[in-house]
Amino acid sequence: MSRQFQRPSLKPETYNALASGLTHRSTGGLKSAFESRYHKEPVHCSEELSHGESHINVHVNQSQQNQTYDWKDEYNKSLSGPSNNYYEKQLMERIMSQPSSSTEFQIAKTPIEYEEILDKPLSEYSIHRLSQLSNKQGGSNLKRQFEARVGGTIRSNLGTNNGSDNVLENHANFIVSKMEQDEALMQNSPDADELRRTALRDMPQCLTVKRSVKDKLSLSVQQKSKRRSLGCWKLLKYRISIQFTKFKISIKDLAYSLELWYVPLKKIEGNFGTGVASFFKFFRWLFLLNVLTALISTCFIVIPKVIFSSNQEPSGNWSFTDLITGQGFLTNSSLYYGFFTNEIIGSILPYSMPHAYFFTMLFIYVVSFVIIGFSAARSYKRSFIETEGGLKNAFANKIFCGWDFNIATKDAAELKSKAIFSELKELIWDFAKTKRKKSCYERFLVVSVRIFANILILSLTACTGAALWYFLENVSVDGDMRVLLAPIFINSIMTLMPMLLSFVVKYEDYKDPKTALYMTLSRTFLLGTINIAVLVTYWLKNDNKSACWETLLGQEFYRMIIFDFIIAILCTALLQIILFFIFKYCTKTAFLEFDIAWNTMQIIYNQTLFWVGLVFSPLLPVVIVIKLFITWYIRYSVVLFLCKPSTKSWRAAQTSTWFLFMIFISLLCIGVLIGYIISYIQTSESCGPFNDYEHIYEIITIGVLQLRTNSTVWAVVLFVTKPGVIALIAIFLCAAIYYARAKANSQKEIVKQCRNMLTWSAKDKEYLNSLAFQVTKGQWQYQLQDKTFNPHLFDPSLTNHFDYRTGDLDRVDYENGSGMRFRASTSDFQDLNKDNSGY
Amino acid sequence: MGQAKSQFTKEELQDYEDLTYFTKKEVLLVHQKFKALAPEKVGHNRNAKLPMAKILLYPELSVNPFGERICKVFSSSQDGDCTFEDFLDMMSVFSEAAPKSVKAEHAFRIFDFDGDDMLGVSDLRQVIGKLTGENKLSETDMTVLVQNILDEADLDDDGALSFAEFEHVIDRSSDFLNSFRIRL
Repeated sequence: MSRQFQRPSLKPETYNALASGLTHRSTGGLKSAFESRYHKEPVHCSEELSHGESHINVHVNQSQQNQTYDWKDEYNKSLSGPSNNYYEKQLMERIMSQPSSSTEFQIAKTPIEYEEILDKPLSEYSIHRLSQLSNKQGGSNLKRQFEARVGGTIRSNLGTNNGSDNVLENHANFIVSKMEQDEALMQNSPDADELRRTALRDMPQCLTVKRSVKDKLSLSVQQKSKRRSLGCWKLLKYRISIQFTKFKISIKDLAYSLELWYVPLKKIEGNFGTGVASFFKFFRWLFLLNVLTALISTCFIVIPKVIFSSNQEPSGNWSFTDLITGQGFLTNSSLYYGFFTNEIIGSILPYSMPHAYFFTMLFIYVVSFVIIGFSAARSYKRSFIETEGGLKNAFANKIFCGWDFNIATKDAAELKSKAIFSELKELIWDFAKTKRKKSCYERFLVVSVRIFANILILSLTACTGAALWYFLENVSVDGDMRVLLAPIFINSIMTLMPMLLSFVVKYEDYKDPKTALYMTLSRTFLLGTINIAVLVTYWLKNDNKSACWETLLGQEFYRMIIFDFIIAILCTALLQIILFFIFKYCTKTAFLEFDIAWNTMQIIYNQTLFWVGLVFSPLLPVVIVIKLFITWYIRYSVVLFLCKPSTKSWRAAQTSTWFLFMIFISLLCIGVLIGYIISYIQTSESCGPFNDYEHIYEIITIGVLQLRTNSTVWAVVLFVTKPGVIALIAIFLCAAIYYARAKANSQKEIVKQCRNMLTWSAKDKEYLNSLAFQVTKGQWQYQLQDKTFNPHLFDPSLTNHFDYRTGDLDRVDYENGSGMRFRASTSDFQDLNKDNSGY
Repeated sequence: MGQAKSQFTKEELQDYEDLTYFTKKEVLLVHQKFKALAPEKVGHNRNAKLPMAKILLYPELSVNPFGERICKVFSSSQDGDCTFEDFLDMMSVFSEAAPKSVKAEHAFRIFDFDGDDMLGVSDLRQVIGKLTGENKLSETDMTVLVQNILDEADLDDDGALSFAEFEHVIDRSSDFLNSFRIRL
């Protein structure tokens, strides 16, 4: 029923067809009303007919007469020549430059209404100006609609004429003539240049057309613009902005040619799809972050010390076991805190080691924190806020975003299409399954299993923590075995426990596999945190037992990282190879699957270890960089040779947001830990750059600011850090969050209501349609399609305002029972949603 | 690379850089890939028009169920044959830098098999058919599926998805940007 009204869009093709008298059946009748307006002097009929329709009859005659009327030529002519029918021209341009269905636009009935339309400033619809405010609400929407309509649909009829150059040329002319309407775009300034560039680039046209448009535009800009002498200041500004753009492009170029691991990543994407590739991208991102850290800490801490320091590194006898334990000749090397002293080095330029150490470390942590915080926030915004969680359109998403365009091998493509097939089946099955209420007993069973599993896992985690503590306390410190046993113990737990966790979660019967994944991830995270916390607490508690506890702590984390490499990476890789061959021997075809979640948690754990150890070991970043570099190749070859693509699709965008969040939280915890260390733990007296101070933070208060203990600034600082003040700030923050949430929720409610409204209006439309159908016995619709319908057939009580861009009843103003007037369309709704997405 | 460089004038390269989401180096790389599809033809005339069968040799397109549609959408003559500029355009839209709106516009046209500017039931059926490949869904399953898609996305209830409705879905999908992309 509703399919009877095909919605015509603004294609020149439509006009051409109309003008040449072709029977374009699918075009709605009201389009022709517009058409007639354009071709003929407007007939401002006022008396007997309802207005818009009167032109249609006029037009039908008209179009029969002018069989070979070329719409486009006429339009171009009317643009160039002095036009005697000003309104038509304006109207025409207005419509063409208008985003399709988002702005209100009604048939003008009388000259007065024409005026009303024209009163709106032209720029209101101008896309190019809108591109400036594209971030503001609505702007980007209008812009996109424009782009979609102007370029998109016109292009689709290009091919009908076999794509001769002439057609392309005409097409380009058409676009140029439209763009020339916009003043902002046609100015001869770098800003307008940039605007033109983006407008052209985002236009969905083929490149040949774009190039021709670009040439013509720049020509016309040069002709039009009067040579004004630029002010000195402006000239400078333009020069700078041009240079800056050039610089940006060259940076982009450089970044492209320097892109790390480009070929491996492409290979993985081609063979395994985006899911696995997202792990490797995350890995690469962390690697680059660590390289940056390594560069900073080496340049500002290690190199000055090694080159200018008076006491050189002891050239002890080198042994391999020392490399693993981090002891022996490494103890007094630049790897650890203890090697650095509180001297001021350099004879010409004094370089104070304590300050360098402190501020470099501070800088590294702050920069990492900011980078990770921003990435996490951006990723969260992109995958959760802008998409409203992305869960609403389960079916449509599966269809429209189902295929992974990166896939480049036949095997992967087959697997992918199988995966899509089974997922669709599952979706349908879920849908068809009647929502059977689970019986009380079943629910009780599920809940009790979950509670039991949670208790089990929590107690297991607590047990490992306690066991570790017991182990550290009771095994004697001196023994060589003790040094090795602790890292082996912890890392084995961190490798094996996640397997147990993912085993347990299977029995908890979570409906959504994503919930199960998140449960496993957070449990693994908890486990890692507890283990590291126990280790650190042990060292801090026993700090006074040794002469240089900072070095010992650094050593401990060095060992942890080395053993993590040996156990979690080398051993598991070996295990996977063995498993692979066993499978191959037994079943011929079996491959392993790459566990993205486990692998990601593993590198997050590794990163956490590194951040804890970094404070007391400035060379640790170099170790980490080497480790990650080797790890990349091990993982890469394991994936490429032993694994097969997963049969389940992986929601890369949302899970990677979770990973970023976890790494952010871990850095946050470490920040707190380090804050505690520098403000409460006494430094060791015999070693390190800070042995002049009792606590590390005093390098700021005493060393730099030279505060006295009774000065006012000090008093203020003490006051601000009082728990009461902090609690007050926290309460304010909580209130702000609560306010934002409430606002977001209320907006969600509005969106929901609008959605309902839209559905109602659609239902009303259906109903009115059927009513009209009954009254006219089908005559009306037949004639609507024929573009010759008789306005008398309309029920005069209905005030119809057709939108002739959609030619549909869809935008009729309804005066419904309660007297409430509303008007809704898809794009209005989108605007509202946009509004909502800000929160 | 040196060879390819000599094939373009500076102005042309600048034009390509301005009009696509690529840098000059990437444009040259695209040309290399284009040349690899038909070395002798492109060797003679760098902007030669390659038939669709040749374009479909590109690995990502060859396994893509919508390969032919993609070629047709991007071909300036609409028959699937692509010149280098068409190919560059295609790669630019599929690149990482292209914004969601541009991608959505092209995705819409790829899925719009009958070219009526709406994704109707037949379009949706064809899309699903291509996605599942050899495994065919039963007729009832297909109907349920199409019905569900329309229920979710067809906001004005006219039995087909307009571009605005399609974009509405895409806007709310976090995975679209990841999946609708071909790495150079």
